[in-house]
Amino acid sequence: MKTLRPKKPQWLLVTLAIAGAALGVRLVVAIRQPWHPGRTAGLLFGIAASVLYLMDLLYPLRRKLLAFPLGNAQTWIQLHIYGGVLAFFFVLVHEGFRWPVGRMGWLLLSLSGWATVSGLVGVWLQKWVPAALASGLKVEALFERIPDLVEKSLAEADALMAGASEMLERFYSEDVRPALAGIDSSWGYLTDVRSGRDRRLEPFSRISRFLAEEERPRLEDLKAVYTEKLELDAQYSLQRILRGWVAIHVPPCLLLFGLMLFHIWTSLSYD
Amino acid sequence: MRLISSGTPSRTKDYVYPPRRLRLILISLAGGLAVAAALTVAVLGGKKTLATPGRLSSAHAPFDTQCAKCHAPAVVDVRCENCHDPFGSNQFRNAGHVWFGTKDPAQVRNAKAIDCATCHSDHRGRKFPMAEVDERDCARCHFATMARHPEFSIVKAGVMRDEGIRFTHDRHVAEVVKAGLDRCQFCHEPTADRHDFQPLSFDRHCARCHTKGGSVGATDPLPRRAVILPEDIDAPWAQKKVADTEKVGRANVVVDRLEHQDPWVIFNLWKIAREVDSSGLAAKRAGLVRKIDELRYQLRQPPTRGMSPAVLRREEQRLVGRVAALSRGASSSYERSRAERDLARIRVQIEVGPGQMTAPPGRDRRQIETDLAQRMEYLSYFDSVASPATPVPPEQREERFAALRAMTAPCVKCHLYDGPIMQSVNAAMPLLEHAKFNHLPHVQQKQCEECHTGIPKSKRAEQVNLPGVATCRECHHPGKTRDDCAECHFYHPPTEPWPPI
Repeated sequence: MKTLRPKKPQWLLVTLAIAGAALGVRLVVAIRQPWHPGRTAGLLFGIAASVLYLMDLLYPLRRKLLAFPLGNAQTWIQLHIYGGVLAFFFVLVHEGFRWPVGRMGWLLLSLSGWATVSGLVGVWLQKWVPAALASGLKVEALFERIPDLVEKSLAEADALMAGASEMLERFYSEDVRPALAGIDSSWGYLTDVRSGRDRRLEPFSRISRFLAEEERPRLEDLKAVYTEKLELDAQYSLQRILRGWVAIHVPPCLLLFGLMLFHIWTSLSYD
Repeated sequence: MRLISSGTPSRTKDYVYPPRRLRLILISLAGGLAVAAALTVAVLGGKKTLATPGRLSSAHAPFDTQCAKCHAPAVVDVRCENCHDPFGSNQFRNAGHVWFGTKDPAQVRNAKAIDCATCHSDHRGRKFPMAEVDERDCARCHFATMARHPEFSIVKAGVMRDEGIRFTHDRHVAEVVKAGLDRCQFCHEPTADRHDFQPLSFDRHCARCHTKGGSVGATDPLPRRAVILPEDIDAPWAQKKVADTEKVGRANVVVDRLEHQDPWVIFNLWKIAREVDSSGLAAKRAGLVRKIDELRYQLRQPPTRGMSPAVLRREEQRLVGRVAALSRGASSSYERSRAERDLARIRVQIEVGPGQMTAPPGRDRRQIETDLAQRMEYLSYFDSVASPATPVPPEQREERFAALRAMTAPCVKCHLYDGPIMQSVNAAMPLLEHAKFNHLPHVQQKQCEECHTGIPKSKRAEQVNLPGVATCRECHHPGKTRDDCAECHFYHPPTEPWPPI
């Protein structure tokens, strides 16, 4: 629940206040006249949504295009998040809270909804994933380094198993080494960063009973390497989701931008 | 001391580069802009459906890919009127609505222009009922809800317009009941669709009691010098009445066995009218001719239908000249705007071609034709039976009026006269001129007198006997029966505005 708590509550309050005011305007206007996206009030909400989307679009370019930063990064991200949510709300008001009729209407509404929902999912991921990784795992690793670290883990395990007993050697080659050979990413880590760890470590307890006393420290070391590899898997999986999320957010948003330009052009051309 | 070699230090292989997200953004931006550009090019290239915010209503479906039929580039009224009001009658403009409601030319001239598309928006799907409008649009000028509906003006006034007849409901209802006939429906016969009632007819409704052997009675004795007796009229209908003429003394006569709408009485009425009130008779005839003109106007063909492009071009040139002349001259802006509108109509006609002119007739065309035929017949009768007469000197006027009173003695039991001109009978014409009322669902639920409570005691034809708006509100309120404006009212006049605005 902590991850859902807004970092800057005043932004949420202002957004809610603006949304409430917009809803109030919508209701007052609706008492007086039927709502139509092309009439003055509907048009104003459409323009407001377009402006907000444009501001959202400037977010990733803020450091590239602006000679000096306007406000700090936190202000920009808050503006990006709450502006996007507000823009989608304005789209709904612009449409009059009705389902669209044409293909273009559906496409615009769907993309607006997708942009907002994927954005909010991104916010949640940005808050939850780092916290989960920090609290649930002992290993920290840069995403780009993880393949190298996994290779090193394998090499370390191979070195550790040199001169091991036949039983341990067989256990290693059949049960452990394949799991150390490559990254094993999983969506399951989204729900629990230690997902499946007990089940995977259970064979170590089982084999331990059949090993000689002097072999057990070697097994414990192997278990430590294996545990580290599992944590690297979790790191890799969650960091990949964190980075991959952009791919489901950005292209649809920019497609929405293109379609929004087309929508504006057709509205102006065919009033 | 450790020395650092000059030049750029080489980076270790372990150096981690930050991910290049800007590339994804730029590629996506280029993709989004490319999609927008491709769509724009496709629309400009003719793929118009890509630009549509939704499908057109079924009536407009043929224009799905012909944006210019309505958009130029905005939707302009003349393009709607090209099909819906090819006469350019302004029936569908707000000015037509104001005329319909007020009959006040000053208000019409000041009427705000409201585009058709303001109330009738399309692109809402095939099944969208675009003829239906949201009543909140009505509330911008009128009241907002049925609860605020003002009292009917005719109820407020307490009396109807001049009904042109003497009639007592109380006595007639009592007589009908006494005769064992249907209390109200003996006279008020439903129309075939049972929405309304047929016009009252003397022969069907009155003759049963008010004639004896087909006659309404005889004249009082009247001076024979003042009238033309049947024996002096060379017409078959007159010859039949010769036997009914009885001399009373040397100077007077009585004509017996008068019929309803007796031709001899009408013949002499109009003769006396010409002698004592020729202008009144001329006005009556002019009124009849005006009504015939009005009906013919409603039946006319669209003015530009079938016009060749060359003729349309000539008309365009003429109107261009007229607009220019009006702009230069001191004529009113109203005249200029009318000319400009006519010019716009012709230009649309030239641009979109003849097309289908589907002006919906306000009234059923056959009904107008029937009405016209009746009035034409009446005019023909009016002219054919006209007797030769010249205005009489003042000393003979009293004698003529005495003859008039005696001659119409059986008529004045019911009819009213302005001098020699009988007032037209307006009884049982619709009372609510600006509303439609369907009697069918109402008579299925209530007896006539539950709403028309004054009938049993009504002693004058002019008494309204119409329930007030409060009675309507008993059922027509939210949660019960429809109470929107369109349930009873129409925005566009049911017939074209007359005279044309």
